[in-house]
Amino acid sequence: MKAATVGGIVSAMALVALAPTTRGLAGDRAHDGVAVDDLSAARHLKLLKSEPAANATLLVPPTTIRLWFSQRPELAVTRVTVRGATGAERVLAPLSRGEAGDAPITGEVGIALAPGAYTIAWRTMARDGHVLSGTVPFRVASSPARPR
Amino acid sequence: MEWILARWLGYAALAVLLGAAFVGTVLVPRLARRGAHDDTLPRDAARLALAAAIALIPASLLRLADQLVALQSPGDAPWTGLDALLRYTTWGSGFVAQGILHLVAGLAAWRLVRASGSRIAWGTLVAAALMLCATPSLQGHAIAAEGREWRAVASDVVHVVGASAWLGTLVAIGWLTLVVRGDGVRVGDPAFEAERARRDDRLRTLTALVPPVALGGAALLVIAGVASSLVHLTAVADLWTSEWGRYLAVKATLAAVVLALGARNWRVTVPRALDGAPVTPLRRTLALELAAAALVLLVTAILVVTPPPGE
Repeated sequence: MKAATVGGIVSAMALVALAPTTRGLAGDRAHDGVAVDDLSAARHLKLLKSEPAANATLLVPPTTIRLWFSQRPELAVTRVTVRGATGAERVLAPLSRGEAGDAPITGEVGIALAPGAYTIAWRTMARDGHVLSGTVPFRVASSPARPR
Repeated sequence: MEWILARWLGYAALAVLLGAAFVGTVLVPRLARRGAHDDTLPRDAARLALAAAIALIPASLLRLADQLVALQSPGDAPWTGLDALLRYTTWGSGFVAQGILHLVAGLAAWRLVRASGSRIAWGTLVAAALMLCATPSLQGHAIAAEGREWRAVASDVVHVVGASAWLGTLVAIGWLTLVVRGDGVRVGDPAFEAERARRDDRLRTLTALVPPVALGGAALLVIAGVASSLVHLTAVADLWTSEWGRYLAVKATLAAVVLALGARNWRVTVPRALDGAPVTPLRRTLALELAAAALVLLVTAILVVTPPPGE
């Protein structure tokens, strides 16, 4: 009788624990390809896009840096810097993030960047403690392009 | 590598803490009901719980240092970012909760070493150990599974409770029957043979009581482990195409080895020992089970620092 009760409880837990997740995996497979990548991105923290975009050449120096992540990163331990070709580094602080789920992390540059090559270096932490970092190179053009 | 060992130590200590608490609160009363009194067993279990609670301190501090170093830039002071990490992140909340529960568990174990009959202290120890099993989920892949984090956390908590109950009880019994000796008894002493006979009796009686705890714990471990894994796997092929999947496969294989050894003990070795056969084979399979269990925890420590597929 005891074994049957334990077996019943364990089976019920198995159904509760496995059913929803198995449906989730089946759904991922059904979408195949791109949909799986989207779901995978949503599950784990990664940089989706930035402003300025990677390798962009800007005619006007950026005043704000925006970074969009696949998940809400831990803002309190996020660090974003803009580094020039000479190695001079400017830490963007304070950083902010809107309430919306897809809101970017935003930091004001604070100065007008001179023409040249720059790198945004970012480091943040997912809720599970995984620390991620990356860089985004961009250029500020020396003079506005003239229309032909 | 040292960070992986710190995690391994943390998991092992947590499992031993819960295992020792189960010995004190579940197995000792069952022994008493069967008329097999072992006066020193509760105190030995309490000592083991205290040792586990103390081992959790360096394991936690090493993990904190690891986390902090990962967030710092060259030239930063050692404590840079500590306040933000502990006060404003989910990981930090889990760490603080863990610290408080370590303290409670440690104090309860310390009390039990002095008065092993205290029901309040045993209850506190079990409650703190069970709550501690929930804290790794606040610092692991589960909490980051956005959109399904609570399901992932629930699976993870059940998984850790199952693993700790099963492996921890196993380790506790291994320690209490293979290693621990009576006060002042040394190898070669005339009293050693009597002590050895007492330990053999303890081994027979305790291992006979383990199957319900082990089966329940292993069932929870497997069910919740599969559920947790499905949250992170994007396809079955991840099991062999991703690093995380390969570690998971190794862990599952090792867990199956522990299960097989446990099943052999349950069905063959323990009944023979209870019928009066020498306990040497039981000692041997128990030692093998413990070695495999240690490897399971080591692979778990590697798994949690390995990015899941797609990260």
